[in-house]
Amino acid sequence: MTGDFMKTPANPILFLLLLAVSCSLAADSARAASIGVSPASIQFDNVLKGGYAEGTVSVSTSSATLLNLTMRAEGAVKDWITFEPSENITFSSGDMKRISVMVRPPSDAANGLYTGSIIATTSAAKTGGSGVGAEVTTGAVCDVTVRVTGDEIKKASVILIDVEDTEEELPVEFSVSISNDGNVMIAPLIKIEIMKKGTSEVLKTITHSTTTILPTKMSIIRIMADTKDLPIGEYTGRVTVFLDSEKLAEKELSFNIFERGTLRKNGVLQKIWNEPWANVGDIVKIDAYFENQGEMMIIGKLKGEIYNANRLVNVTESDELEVPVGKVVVLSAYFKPEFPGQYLVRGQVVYGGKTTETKESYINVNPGGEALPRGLDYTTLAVAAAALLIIALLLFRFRSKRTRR
Amino acid sequence: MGLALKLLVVLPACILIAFLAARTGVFANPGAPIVADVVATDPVDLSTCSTVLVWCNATVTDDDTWEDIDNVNATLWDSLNSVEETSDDNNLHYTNYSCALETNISLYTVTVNCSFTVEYYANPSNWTCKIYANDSTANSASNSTDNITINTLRALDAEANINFGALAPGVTSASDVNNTVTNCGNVALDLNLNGTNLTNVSASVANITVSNIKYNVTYPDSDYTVNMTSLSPSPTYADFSLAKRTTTVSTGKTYWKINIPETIENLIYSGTITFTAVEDT
Repeated sequence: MTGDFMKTPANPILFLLLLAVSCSLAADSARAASIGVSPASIQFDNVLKGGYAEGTVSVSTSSATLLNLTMRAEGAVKDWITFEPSENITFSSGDMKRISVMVRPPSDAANGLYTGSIIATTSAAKTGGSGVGAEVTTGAVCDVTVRVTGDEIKKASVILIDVEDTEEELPVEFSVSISNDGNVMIAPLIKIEIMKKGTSEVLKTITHSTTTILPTKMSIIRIMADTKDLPIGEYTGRVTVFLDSEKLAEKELSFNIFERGTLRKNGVLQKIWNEPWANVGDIVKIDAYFENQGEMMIIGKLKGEIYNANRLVNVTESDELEVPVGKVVVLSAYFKPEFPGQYLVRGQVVYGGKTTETKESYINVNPGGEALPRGLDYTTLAVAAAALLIIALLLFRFRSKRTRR
Repeated sequence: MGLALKLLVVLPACILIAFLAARTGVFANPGAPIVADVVATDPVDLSTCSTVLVWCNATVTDDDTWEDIDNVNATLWDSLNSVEETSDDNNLHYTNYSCALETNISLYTVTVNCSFTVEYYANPSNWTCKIYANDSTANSASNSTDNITINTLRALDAEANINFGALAPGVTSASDVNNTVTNCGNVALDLNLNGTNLTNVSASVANITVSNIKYNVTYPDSDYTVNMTSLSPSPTYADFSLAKRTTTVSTGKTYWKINIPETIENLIYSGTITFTAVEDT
């Protein structure tokens, strides 16, 4: 910076605006683009040739700015690995991404230990300054080893067996969490025997064997048992889990069938969310985050109304989904705007004859083909706001001095 | 039965009962709360240069109703490198002095949630969580789970730009341009470095090839020709040995220079340099 430049400029307003812009750029150029993967290594043991295994890596950043995340594999296992999600991943501070890593060795792979790596990389940050330079992107490596075998291993473990109380004529929900610890797909058999509490006479037997579980995966199997022929009272459910002829677990659980209206149904619509910007003709996904805070499973459905200039222009609704006690389920509906403008989405969830309070969101629709604005860069906004404040103060002082003269 | 025979039977039985009671704690502290079903977040994936919440929950039962439970606190520690009594240290020991009592699940039992804000540089290790419950009459009980794994986090932060400034054709950077790298994880790391050519869409004569950019990750002010490594489009390993943070933030500088080709236009040329965290070997 030359001495001349530091002299009082002829046009102080222009000088101050330039100062504000350079402050903003300086804030951007100093901002780092961090990334990390956890765990730093992942092992897949005894993966069957032509089989499947799955693991998870968490990818995080401390960047307040929204970054693009790219996942890729390298090394001997490069062609065996896929990711879910695999594209269009964005993340920022506080938004740790859990990426599923799927391994599928070919059926002609030789037995042995294969190594490689998973690389998570951020997108380029904004450039700052002038002249010759490079934007810095960052990455982090997770080391991968895959031990391939030709021997089939059929093995599973039961993590949890549970049941919820219900009301007369409504089904009772049993849930069984099973982990596939082997290297072949399994379809465990679950047998549920229902007895009046304190007796051994089996009133009802339900079996379930249609859920398949991939190797290395854990699945929560929910089984709805009809109770229409069971009167109000206390019952015992004996749940037995088999893998082929091997009994994996057996557990007796108590549950109640209450009068209708005894158990509290309480669904809470946490928020309605959609991408804030869209083009005409785009299909906009509207997500409702619906939580079951009650004492029994409920079935929820999002009903949305879409307004433009205070005029109802469309209605949309989601599929009905079961929401277990204590869980949050995302109910999705869709809207295709035909005209540009700002649309108001008003949605509520209908469940068990009740409705939640209404939540709202906005969709800003551009004419087709325009680039859509990105998420807000709060740091830049803050710096710009601070700069504008400084400008206002300096202008005020400048004018005060001129007035005194 | 003679007195001697009675003593022979009754005395060992009493000793056995006392021993079992001491082992199980059944009669150790009548009226004390019972802490059960301790469950914690497992495994724990830490967050780059940030913190994560680790949960350690349990049920607490008190004979005098759950409302008699006065205070619940918990300790989370790296069981391979510290003990329960160690002072709090973000690397290996955390304490929550007041856990949250959730909705009671019966007249006598309540669920308690103990959370810990765990730093990104907490040791990758096996950790234990122990929950203590105290009631209004100063009776106390505890229970723990010792199978919590804090995973390794390999993470870095780098400054967003390497700006070589305005340079004339044929000139080499007179001094280093530094880029400071921060270890944002809980393991030491080395670097893989790679980059792209520096280009300008308006350039009609030539671009600046990536190999004109050189670095040294150990020594500043190195001679461009002799002691610096050319950047390449494919990742190249650099022994950086940046330790994990233990007290203050762990950072290391990398040093960069560029040589501008003789034949080049008066334009702004830009490209990308990628810093990748790899295992420290």
